[in-house]
Amino acid sequence: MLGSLGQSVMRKASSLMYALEFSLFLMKETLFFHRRKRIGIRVLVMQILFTGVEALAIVSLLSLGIGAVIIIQGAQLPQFLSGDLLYRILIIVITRELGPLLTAFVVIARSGSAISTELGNMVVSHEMEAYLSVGIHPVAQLGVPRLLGVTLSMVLLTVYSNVMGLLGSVGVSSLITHVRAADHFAALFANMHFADVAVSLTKAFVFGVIIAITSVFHGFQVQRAVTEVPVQTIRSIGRSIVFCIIADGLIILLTALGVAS
Amino acid sequence: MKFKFRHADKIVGLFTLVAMLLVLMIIIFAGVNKRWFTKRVSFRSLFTSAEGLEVGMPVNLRGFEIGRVRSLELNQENQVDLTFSIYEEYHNRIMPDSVLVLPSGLLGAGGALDLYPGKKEGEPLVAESYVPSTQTVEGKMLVKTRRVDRPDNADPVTAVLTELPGTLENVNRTLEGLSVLMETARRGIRGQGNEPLAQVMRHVEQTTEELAAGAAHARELSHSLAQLAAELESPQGLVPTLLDPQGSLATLLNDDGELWTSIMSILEQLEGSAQDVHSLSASLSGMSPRIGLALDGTIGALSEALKVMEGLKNNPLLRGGISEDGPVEQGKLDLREEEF
Repeated sequence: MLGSLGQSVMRKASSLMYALEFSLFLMKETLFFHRRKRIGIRVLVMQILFTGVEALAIVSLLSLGIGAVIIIQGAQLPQFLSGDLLYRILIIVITRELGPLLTAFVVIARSGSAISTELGNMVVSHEMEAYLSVGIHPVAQLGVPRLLGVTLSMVLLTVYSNVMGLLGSVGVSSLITHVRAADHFAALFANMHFADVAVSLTKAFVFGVIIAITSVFHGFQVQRAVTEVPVQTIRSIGRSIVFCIIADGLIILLTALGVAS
Repeated sequence: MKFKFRHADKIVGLFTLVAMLLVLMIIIFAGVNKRWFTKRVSFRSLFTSAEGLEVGMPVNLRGFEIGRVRSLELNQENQVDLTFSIYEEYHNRIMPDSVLVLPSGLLGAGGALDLYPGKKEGEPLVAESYVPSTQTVEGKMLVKTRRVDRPDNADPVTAVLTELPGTLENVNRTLEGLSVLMETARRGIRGQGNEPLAQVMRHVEQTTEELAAGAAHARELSHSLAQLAAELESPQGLVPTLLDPQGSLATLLNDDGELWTSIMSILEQLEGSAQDVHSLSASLSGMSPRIGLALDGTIGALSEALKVMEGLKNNPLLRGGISEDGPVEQGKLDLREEEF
């Protein structure tokens, strides 16, 4: 029993080290992406199209609805709709928290799973051997554009998500309080700090990196059978969500420490 | 080929461009609403405490934000130097006699400084001018003498809340005055300080001490009188004993003139002695011319002897011919050197 426990720990440590090395290699290759511009740019554009543009509708709808729901639910508290408190809550909830996190969940569900599945199937169909046979590293060739594409898409989608969330809240708030939308926007922008935008975009960037690396890693974890593909895809989704939430907590902690100091 | 794949570059470019424009718009709108690009005019003020103050705090005029607090600094006099900036569009409201007020923090109020513009007409205050706060005497006087444009309070609660700090300050001042008075009275009762009460108390204390001393003397006097009375009253007392016909005085005086005779003889002897002294002095005064002549003669002889000695001394034949005197025994200088 003690022996099997030791072997299990050793296996876990070994796989953790491999995952760490894989992530570092992927990030290092991403820094040299400009060397593979000819092929890479096309893959990158397609990745942004798939991850960013195609997800824009659902992200916008989700954010619009969330912003409106916050105001409708908050209207049950009379003090909520009075003063600058409303605008600060909206900015903190939508811009700092829900915007990046909801976008991350959408991207995980749509693009993260797709990347794992696609790469897994490529491994099963021996495409990796074909890349290797012509001297191209498959991780660098397939992983880097996806990492860049997902990260950029996450950042851009978060911007849209924030704008849509604030638009939805302002629209509903104008209907409930009979205050002009222009005045709502003016008050909203007056209560918005540069740090709110910076934190939101930072989270989006970090979540994008996490989703891309996790998805690519699990795609390449497929060995031989097609049945491994969904298993790795599910793992990729679950771990991406967990890692994003942990990263969110760490960023909040760092921000709070930065404000306190 | 599908439209989106054919125009993927353009779609992605538009998607990216719009997102970037949105970010730029958010930053610009936030900046405009936060007046990042508005010109500001700085002013100075003074507060006794930084409690309730913070950098970035709005400065309001009748509920409208017209500026913000820029800096707070504790100066050498332990007061708080405050710098605040007013947006340029509101600069013309900052008239002379303007006052800064830190509203009371009761019931969630506060969080902003209120500016009451001065009623004095003329040019607005120039940049870096001093605007007193109501925490200074100057500011209080401006408000008290109604030289500032202060809005009338709309409701009783607001009126009470507005007046409360002033009232509390008056109560505080009265209590402080009472405390000082009590301290002065306590010091006066102890006789410390130069206040009239202290001086009176010192005089009273001195008079009391003198009275105590007088009472002690009176007590001693009355005791002596009592003793004397007792002596007088007692048949064996000193005075009756002395005055008794059989007492010491009577005995001394009734000696058939023996005492008188003795005294008279002593006096006669003294008179004789005095006459002897008188005659001695008379004879001495008669001899004094002769004593004078003798002394003159002696001085002449000594002068001649001095000349002879000098001649002998200068004679080369007699030099070294006279033996030296032997050692002279020194007399006893101190009683302790004598043998007992």
